[in-house]
Amino acid sequence: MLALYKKDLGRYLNNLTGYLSIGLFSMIISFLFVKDIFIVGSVSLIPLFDLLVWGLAVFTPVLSMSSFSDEKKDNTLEVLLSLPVSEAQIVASKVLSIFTLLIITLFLTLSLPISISFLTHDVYIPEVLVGYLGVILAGLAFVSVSVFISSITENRVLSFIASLVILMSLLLMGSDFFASFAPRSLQGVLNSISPVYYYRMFSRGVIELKAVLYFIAMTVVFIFMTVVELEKRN
Amino acid sequence: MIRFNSVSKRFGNVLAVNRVSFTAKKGEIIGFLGPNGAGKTTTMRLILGILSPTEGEINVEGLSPTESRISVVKRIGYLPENNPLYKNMSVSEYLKFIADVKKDNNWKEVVESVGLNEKINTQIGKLSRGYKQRVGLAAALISNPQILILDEPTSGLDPLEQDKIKSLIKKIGKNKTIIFSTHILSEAEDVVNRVIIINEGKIMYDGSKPKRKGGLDKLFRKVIKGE
Repeated sequence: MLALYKKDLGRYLNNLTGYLSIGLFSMIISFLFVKDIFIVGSVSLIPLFDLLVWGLAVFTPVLSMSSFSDEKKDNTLEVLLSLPVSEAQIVASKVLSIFTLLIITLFLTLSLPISISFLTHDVYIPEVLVGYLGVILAGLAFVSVSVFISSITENRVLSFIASLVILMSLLLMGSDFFASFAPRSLQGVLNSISPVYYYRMFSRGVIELKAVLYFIAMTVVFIFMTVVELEKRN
Repeated sequence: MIRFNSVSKRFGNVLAVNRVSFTAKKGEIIGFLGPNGAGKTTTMRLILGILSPTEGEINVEGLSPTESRISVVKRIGYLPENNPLYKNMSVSEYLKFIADVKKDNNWKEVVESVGLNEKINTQIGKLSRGYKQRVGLAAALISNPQILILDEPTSGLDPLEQDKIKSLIKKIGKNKTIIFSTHILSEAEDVVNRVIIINEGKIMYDGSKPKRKGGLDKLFRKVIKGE
């Protein structure tokens, strides 16, 4: 399992693309957040957490798109299946390696709340930590969705687009913009499906059990579906 | 030992393997011959449990590959068709990865036995086809498995490289069960001691290799083309 994890992580860290993706994501998030501070004139970390979750809906498909698509296209999945490792270990290694990159990326964005705390002396650290817990849980769930999509196609571009569409649709369902169009009777259902509803609890500094369970369940379901996909022997 | 008992594999409407039965024992180097699309690769994937049979029973060292894939693949070294490799890894990184997964520390001995010493730090993508084939073969040999499944191991190699791979297979095959698939008969003639000819998913011949030089070619024509 450790050997698989090292191989999968090395695929990202042994080339420039991995570092570029991480750097670019942190830079774009920082730029958008700082720009808003100057336009709006108020300093709150809630917009940072909003930016991060939308950013992750693009970033996790970028990181995950080739995870299984390339293994299928290059037929190296056959090599993995001929080794004494279970399908669950293969999937867990992919998810964990991408999740590790995500943690590194999020670590880089910590410079923003730290800078704000120096400037305003008005940052409540536990609130920031709870916000980041939400980002981490949402990120893990998004990675598992994207890895599953990657496991059902050999085409990495298709994998990226499909993951992006699914994650964006889920986020849009819970957005204020979408709520203004949707019939009132549907709004409750859409909110309960969308990650936005649960994520907002974290970004406002509250840990709710149902929010934690929502993201864990989403992660487990998609990891399970990926394992089932690999176990097909047709 | 590998035993196939009336095994069939169907993909939709296509019957890729049709009631195949054979037994492969220790010390046998079996040439699994047949034209392209005959069912050779499907049969090999069935042995490893990468595919499961539609009908029939497969037994590898007393285990079912479908039910116990991990235990079965621990006993098998596999060189897949077209030798898929991680091209961005160096030879040492790749073989160390395989050795770590197979929990065998003696991968450097395998490197020496297949003649990869001088290329150990080279990126796999930059190797010649012959050396890539050696990397695939080295990966299959790590952990000293008792069964080797080699799917077209000499495909696309020049005659010199073919000879090197063939003599390597002969050398390592004395105490193992080796199934070696190819559609090029001359490749099999020098290496194998038993021949299975498969066509359209069915075994057409299973027996010893003809003793005369070129006899395999005649046998193949007779079995496949009825000449």
